[in-house]
Amino acid sequence: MDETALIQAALQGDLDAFNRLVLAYQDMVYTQAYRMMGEQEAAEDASQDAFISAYRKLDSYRGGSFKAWLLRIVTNVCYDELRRRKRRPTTPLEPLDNDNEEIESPRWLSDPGESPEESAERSELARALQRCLDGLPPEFRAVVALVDVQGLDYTEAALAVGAPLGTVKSRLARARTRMRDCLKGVWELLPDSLRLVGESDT
Amino acid sequence: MTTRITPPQWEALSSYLDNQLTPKERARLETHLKQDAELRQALEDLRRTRALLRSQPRLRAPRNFTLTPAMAGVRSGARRSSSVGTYPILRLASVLATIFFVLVTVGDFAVRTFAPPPLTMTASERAAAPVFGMGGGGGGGGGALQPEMGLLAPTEAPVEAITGQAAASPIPDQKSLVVTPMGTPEAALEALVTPEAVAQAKEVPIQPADNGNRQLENETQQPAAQHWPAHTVILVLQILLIILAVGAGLAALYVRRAAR
Repeated sequence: MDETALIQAALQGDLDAFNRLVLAYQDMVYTQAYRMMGEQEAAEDASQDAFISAYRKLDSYRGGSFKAWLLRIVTNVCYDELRRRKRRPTTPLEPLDNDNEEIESPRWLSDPGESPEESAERSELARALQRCLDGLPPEFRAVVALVDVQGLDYTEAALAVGAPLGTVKSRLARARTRMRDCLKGVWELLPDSLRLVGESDT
Repeated sequence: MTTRITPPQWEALSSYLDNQLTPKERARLETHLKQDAELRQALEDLRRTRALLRSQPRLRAPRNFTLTPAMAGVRSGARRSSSVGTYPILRLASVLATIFFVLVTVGDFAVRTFAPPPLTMTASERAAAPVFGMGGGGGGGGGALQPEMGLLAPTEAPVEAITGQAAASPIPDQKSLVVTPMGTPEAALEALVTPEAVAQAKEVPIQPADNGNRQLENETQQPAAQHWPAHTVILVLQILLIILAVGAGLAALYVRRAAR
């Protein structure tokens, strides 16, 4: 069954059809939630809430990019949670284990194909990246996560954040500039392959 | 180092990397890039930042986020389960109390307004009781306490027959009615005791009409005194109903808010 058929079936109350959409998009939704929230537990909660919310207001989906529609929902869930936290700040930014120790290499960041050194470098880089993302205002973070992490084009990103194209462009530029300033100290961690990707990607 | 590059330039550089500039904008930026080493460095930094962001693998969801039926209806279900118990009942109670209140009020008002001698009703109601009492073998103590009523009953006189007007101009076939008023307590008791009360009542000599009239007037005065408690009862009923209506309504509102 294709996406449109699954959405139609879900609209008729077919929860199984909707759950097939959930399975297809949960990594994307979780990634966005993680980039927005900066930690696993909050990202899981936001993802679950986003799918519940998506199921309830599925009838407000008016065609177009379902991906952008879902990303908009999860982004809004994250905005709400971040606003709520701003009023009552608490949570740690680093993943913690059961003994409240910082997890050196979270399971979801490790790649079984990498050597331990590569893995350590990669996780350090990943942590630095997430720290820099966390330092951005949520509106900037959302746009940079949508375009550079999720790979949305500007039009889809505008749809997902509910802002005009021009706003998306300027937020993205400012987010990238601030990320650049923030990441200055970790450039040497960049793997060669990435530098090559960067240079060939014009 | 970054001070010289303006926000619009950063934006142009960022859009340039995504190939989102118009040909004209692109040509202008490329001209600037050739002339300005700092701008070239800025572009390189942005390109690396962008590449780093894009190099991040999509994270794997640590668990499935598929919805259970309970999740799909989580809020409505929770609301329904808590409201099934109390909310509809309270709402129904409030509505019913309101309806009864209106009925009682309107009924009371109608009786007072459209039945100028409301006692007629009372008299007939009270007449009705002995009817059953007599039929049942004369067990009605109430009938015995109100002898003239007891006598009225066996004749099965229609409601209108009890009115003073009917008594004032006795018609032949209303004989029994005219007979009734004269009935003394003893006669009533006699009527209660003997099954042939009806026959006896008919045999009693007819009394002058004005006598019967007076008797009826007396009768109508008598219940008037007892009518006040009935009004008090209605008033109390009205107050209770309105308290129930408002109380249940407020409780229903509270339950609904709490469920939200």
